[in-house]
Amino acid sequence: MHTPTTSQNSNAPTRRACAIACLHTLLSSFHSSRHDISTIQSNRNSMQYYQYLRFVYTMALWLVANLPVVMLVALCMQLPFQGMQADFMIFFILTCELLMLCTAWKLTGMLTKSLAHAHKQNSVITHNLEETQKLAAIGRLASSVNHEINNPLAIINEKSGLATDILEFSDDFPERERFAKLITSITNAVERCQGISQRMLHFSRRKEAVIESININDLLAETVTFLDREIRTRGVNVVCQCHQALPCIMSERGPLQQVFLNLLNNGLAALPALCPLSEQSTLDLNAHPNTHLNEIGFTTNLVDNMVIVSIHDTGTGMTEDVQSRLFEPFFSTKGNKGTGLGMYISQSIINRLGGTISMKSVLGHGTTFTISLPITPIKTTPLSGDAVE
Amino acid sequence: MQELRAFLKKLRVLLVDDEEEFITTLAERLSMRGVQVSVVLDGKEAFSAVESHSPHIVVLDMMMPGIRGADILARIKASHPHVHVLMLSGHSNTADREEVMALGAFDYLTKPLHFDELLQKLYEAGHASLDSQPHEAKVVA
Repeated sequence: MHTPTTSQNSNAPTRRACAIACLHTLLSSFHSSRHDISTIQSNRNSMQYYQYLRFVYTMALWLVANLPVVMLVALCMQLPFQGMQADFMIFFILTCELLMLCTAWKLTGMLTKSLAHAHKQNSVITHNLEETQKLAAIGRLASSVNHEINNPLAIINEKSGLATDILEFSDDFPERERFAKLITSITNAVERCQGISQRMLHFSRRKEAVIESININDLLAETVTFLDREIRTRGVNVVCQCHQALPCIMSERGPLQQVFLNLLNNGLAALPALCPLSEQSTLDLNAHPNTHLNEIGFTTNLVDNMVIVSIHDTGTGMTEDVQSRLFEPFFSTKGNKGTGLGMYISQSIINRLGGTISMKSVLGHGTTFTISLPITPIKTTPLSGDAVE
Repeated sequence: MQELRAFLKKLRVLLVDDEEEFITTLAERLSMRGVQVSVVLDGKEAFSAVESHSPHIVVLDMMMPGIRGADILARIKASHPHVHVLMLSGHSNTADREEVMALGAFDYLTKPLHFDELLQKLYEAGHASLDSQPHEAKVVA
């Protein structure tokens, strides 16, 4: 028969050793977790990072919560427990530990979830800021290039004009007509360069939100000219069906053009790299869509006092998974070539302008984006950064 | 068209721009149409050239080394209100346009110029200038 004193004396070193071993394990796991986190800290978007974070927080919380339990154990070791009482105490302590662990795991789950959400929001803002800064730099560059290009263009223009004048004021000579045609070609090229320079300036210039009267048909046709070179190089057909009596809408020109350009760009990206079936690209303003295998295009319409713009492509289409995640920030199917912000920002812009954007895609057949825009302006708040993917 | 050509021959125009190739070619083209043209390549000399040549119209570049076109415009309009000034700029800028129009510029044209548009503006500015100088208008008429 054991006396209480004997039981306490014989169990005390074992319990102390157990307590020390437990603490050591906890601290070691905490330390090793910290080490692992530092190696993957660079990628805050990975699930692994948040799982490690949750584990570390749980361990830390458990450790802190263990302090009263340790004190309880220390107190118990001083008391003359034996037999059933000692077993009950061990069971009670173990239950407490388990409950604490579960609570800590649950709490840290909520904590890491909200942390992941905050990180995601932060990343969106940072990316928007970076894109805005980039766009502002491009704007300054475009303004400078515009001025530097226009001066030599003006010289070429005046020289060719003078050559025309000389032809006009001089007597007839052989190949006069040929000279006149050559000079006209130079003048046309100057006008083309001026147009490119002007469009680049208008597009990149960041302004305060300016509501103006916009002819959507003209804006879409102008936006297509941005992609003119790629369209011609790749032999893509551009099919446009414009509602001829479409009223002008009061909206923001720059952001709208940015959305159209983004959607047309995505449409082009969804087409095969080269379109062998078409020898020469065309811009057909009245053709029916889907009559050509490799095409992008737009359709405008007026429904219930809303201007409806459909931008389509006959590209690869999207899987249901891609469709469901398309408007998520940082979701990209272009790998390193895309930021994954284009569609997210496009949706933000359209919503801000009081419109809606929807999408219909059939895998292997193409995609159509439909944007509805109000004719009359709505109260808008400027975005921190509208960027194109 | 005939009226425009006949009228242009009555005009004295001062061209101010540091782009020599551009402005001398423009001057030659205007001279071929009978306009009496003077050219100044240094913006700082523009004001004294207005004094010495007494032009009806000044065609003035917005950006020149050492001096802003808008400053020259303000000085010309302050001392010679009857002289009309057509501003030229390498790039279309709404703020610049608003500034020079507020200072009394006749119009704001961007480079490269559409020559027919320039002739039309010279015609309009010339009429406005001659109308504000009754004595000279009588002489040239």
